[in-house]
Amino acid sequence: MDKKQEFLKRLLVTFQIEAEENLKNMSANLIKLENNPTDFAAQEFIENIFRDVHSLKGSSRAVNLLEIESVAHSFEGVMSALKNNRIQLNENIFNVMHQIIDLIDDLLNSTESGINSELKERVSDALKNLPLIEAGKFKEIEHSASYDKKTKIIPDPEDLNPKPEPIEPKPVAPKPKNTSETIRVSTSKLDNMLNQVEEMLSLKLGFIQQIENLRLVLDKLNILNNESSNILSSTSNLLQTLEKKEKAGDISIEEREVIKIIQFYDWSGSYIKTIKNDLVDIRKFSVQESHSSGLKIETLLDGVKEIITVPFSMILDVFPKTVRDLSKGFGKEIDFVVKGEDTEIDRRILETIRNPLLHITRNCVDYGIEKPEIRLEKGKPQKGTIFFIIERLENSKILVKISDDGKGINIEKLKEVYIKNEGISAEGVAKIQKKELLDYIFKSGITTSDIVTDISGRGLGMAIVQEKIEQLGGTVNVESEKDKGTSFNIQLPLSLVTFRGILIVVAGNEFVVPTAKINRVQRLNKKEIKTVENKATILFEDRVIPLVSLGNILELTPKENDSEWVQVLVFGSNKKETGFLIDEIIGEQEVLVKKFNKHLARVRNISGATVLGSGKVVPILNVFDLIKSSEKPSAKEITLKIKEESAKIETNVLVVEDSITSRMLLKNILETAGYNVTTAIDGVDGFTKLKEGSFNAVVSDIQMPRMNGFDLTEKIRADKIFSEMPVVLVTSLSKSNDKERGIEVGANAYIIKSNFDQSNLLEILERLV
Amino acid sequence: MTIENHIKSILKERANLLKIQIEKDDISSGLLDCIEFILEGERYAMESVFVSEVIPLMEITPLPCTPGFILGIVNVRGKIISIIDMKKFFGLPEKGITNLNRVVIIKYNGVELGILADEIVGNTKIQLNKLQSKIKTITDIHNGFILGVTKERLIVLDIKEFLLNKKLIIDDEV
Repeated sequence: MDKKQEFLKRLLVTFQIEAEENLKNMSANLIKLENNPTDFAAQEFIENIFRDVHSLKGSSRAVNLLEIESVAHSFEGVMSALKNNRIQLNENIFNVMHQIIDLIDDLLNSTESGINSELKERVSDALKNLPLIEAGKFKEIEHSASYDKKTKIIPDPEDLNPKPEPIEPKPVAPKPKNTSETIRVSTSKLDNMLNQVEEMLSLKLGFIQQIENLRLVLDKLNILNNESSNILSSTSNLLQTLEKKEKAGDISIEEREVIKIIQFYDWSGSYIKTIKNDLVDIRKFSVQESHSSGLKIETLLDGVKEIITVPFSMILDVFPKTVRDLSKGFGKEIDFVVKGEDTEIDRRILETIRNPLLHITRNCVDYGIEKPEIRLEKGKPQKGTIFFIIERLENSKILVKISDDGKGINIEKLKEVYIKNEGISAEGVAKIQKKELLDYIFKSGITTSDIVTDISGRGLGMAIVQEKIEQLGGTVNVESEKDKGTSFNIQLPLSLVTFRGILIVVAGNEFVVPTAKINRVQRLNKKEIKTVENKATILFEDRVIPLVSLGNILELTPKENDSEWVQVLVFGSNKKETGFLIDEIIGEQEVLVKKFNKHLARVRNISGATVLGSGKVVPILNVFDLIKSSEKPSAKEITLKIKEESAKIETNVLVVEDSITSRMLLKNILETAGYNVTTAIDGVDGFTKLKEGSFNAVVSDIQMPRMNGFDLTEKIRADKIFSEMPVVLVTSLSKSNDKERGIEVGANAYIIKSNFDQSNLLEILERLV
Repeated sequence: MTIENHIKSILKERANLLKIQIEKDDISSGLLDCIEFILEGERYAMESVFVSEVIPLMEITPLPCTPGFILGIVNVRGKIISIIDMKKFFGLPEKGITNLNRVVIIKYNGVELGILADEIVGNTKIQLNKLQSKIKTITDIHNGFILGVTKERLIVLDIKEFLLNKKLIIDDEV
């Protein structure tokens, strides 16, 4: 019993926070309405009030605050009449409406102290006045008790026998508002915070990468240090002899120089050691920093996650009670069965979805399940059942299925409404699919109910339900079979998730695979791959399993692998494993899933993306899909060539281009044609790369930051080593003097972007190289 | 009548004489706030209300198993946004290569994505009633995606229609 009261108390607190928000919105919209808005705007304000009072009504019923519920219900009636233009607003009505909002607010704040007689009178006033307003018969504020907040009470002359005592509204001391220590934060703010905390994670990963870079520098320094001490030890004899000679005064100028050089190396050797020590210190410090900041970031992220994800059961407490209370009211017998309430979901989603789910459940009770006697007539068990099943789907979504075994949605009735509202002929409706008709229930103002009961039938609910779900990035659909029942399927995103992932390279592109989904990572000699019925297979735990190319499945052109070894990932379980051929494995790390927006609702083989420490975006593979894809015939082809010797002489081309799209395009064209391509982002970068590598040709843009294509060409020509290097300028500058300038600085060819043609470029390169 | 009232009435009279009715041109009724951009040498515009920001394109990750018009994905302050090549989407003929360096991020009805542009010209106001709408013969873009063409040959795209297009929603099962 104690537990139940505790629970009710908790429920009440949540309700109060929500109700206060509803009231605030209502009164804000009411004020807007008072300021003579345009008809169009007025409709919107009315609609807003309508929705708020509707949800207030629903939630107050759930917490058993019957006074608020009945007032809200009457209020909703007025808004409904306004919506349909059955009545006009006037100052008096506005006054009443505002007073009602105050009344509900007072009722809210008296849930603990209990409703006093003054409040009771105000409630009965409201319940008398509101229906009058709704009927358009309201003239003046009627007071049974002369309650008015602001004006002094003047006894009504007609009512000569007022209450014995002059009623002065008791000076109710303004109690501190009865809210718990919570604040409401808009989800968009939380979203932003989340995104930023997620970015912190890539910061952490960035740290780790930096430390790794430092280690590489240290390794290089070590090599330098070793080499120089080797030389020093081998030259120490020489130095001694030379120094003896110097003392004896018998030394040539060259020998003296040699002494200087050896002494310099001696000095630089110890200097390198100092640098090394400094670097070691910096590295130590960085590692510490990285650990502590990593820890802080983890804690922060955990905290945010805690704010964000909660089990479904958090909102489900209220459901059984609602179903029980309602079914009693209707004289129905209903079992409410919940499954999967431990499923965790983003709290923001849960908060938003609570009311829509409650609404659907209420509808199941109200319309779905029949009365016991009718059920018996139909040969169904006397007791109806509402299933509430929460399930985690493969594509990191959550499915909430609310179903009943009731009478189903009345399609014929829906057709009638459709014809009436949409002005479509009966023949036209016959052509409409059942699914489309069923979806029609989500439109505002549609109801198949003949009676407006106190909880449903106004046709507003389902529109809100759909709106809320779609705002969350979810979907809702309905299935219904006459006399079998109705089922609402709601798919919701899961939002924030992190997991361990392995970073791999496939056909030159990076991808992440969830570590948990990987059965084994294997490095195999190509000889171990044997074909069975022309299909590649490998051995896995003494069993033969198929081997497919991940590149092929991802519709990429796999890179040719010249080595004897191949890297294989094994996915799948239950003796149904499949090997996937990849280029290489980079490493394992913590990965944060970033979901795509609605535009990429579902991409084959890809479940989302993540951001690496370097800031690079990497797609996350959907292993479930990959296994499915691997079973398609096209995936089976696998090309495994062990190249004995490459027939074609490798031609290296440097592409210098500041625009990433053009860079990618040029790279693609040239690589497809068989060139090895290195890219640079501007002239300076280009010239540095040119010096570092060995290239057979340069393809460059002209307009680039730091150093443009003309200057680059000039610089290349000025350098002795590169004076013969073929340079092709590709540019949007099409004026003839630009072209002349290009030739002047020494470019071999000049291609104008606007009439760029890849065969043109390839032809020119072929000729030049 | 007090002097004060008298002065007031004179001032009112003067005010009445001097007041000029603000010409209710059709301008006020149908002005479209637009962002103008260049795509392959052609000038395009779209309604600013759908544009959330313009960013330079730095690095792009190709996304396998998606249609060709999706060039890849980028990270915009923690959000993953896909980048669309409008030319490929509309099936416009490829005319060489261009400097697609800018991304205009547009959003409507939960669909958010970036489209590539060569250059952003700036904000412009376009009079709706001066738009020539029957332009099937002029551009290759399907009529549904175009609000019209101005006298200055500015093609005004119907971004809402574009973002609501089913072809844009990738929802593929294996």
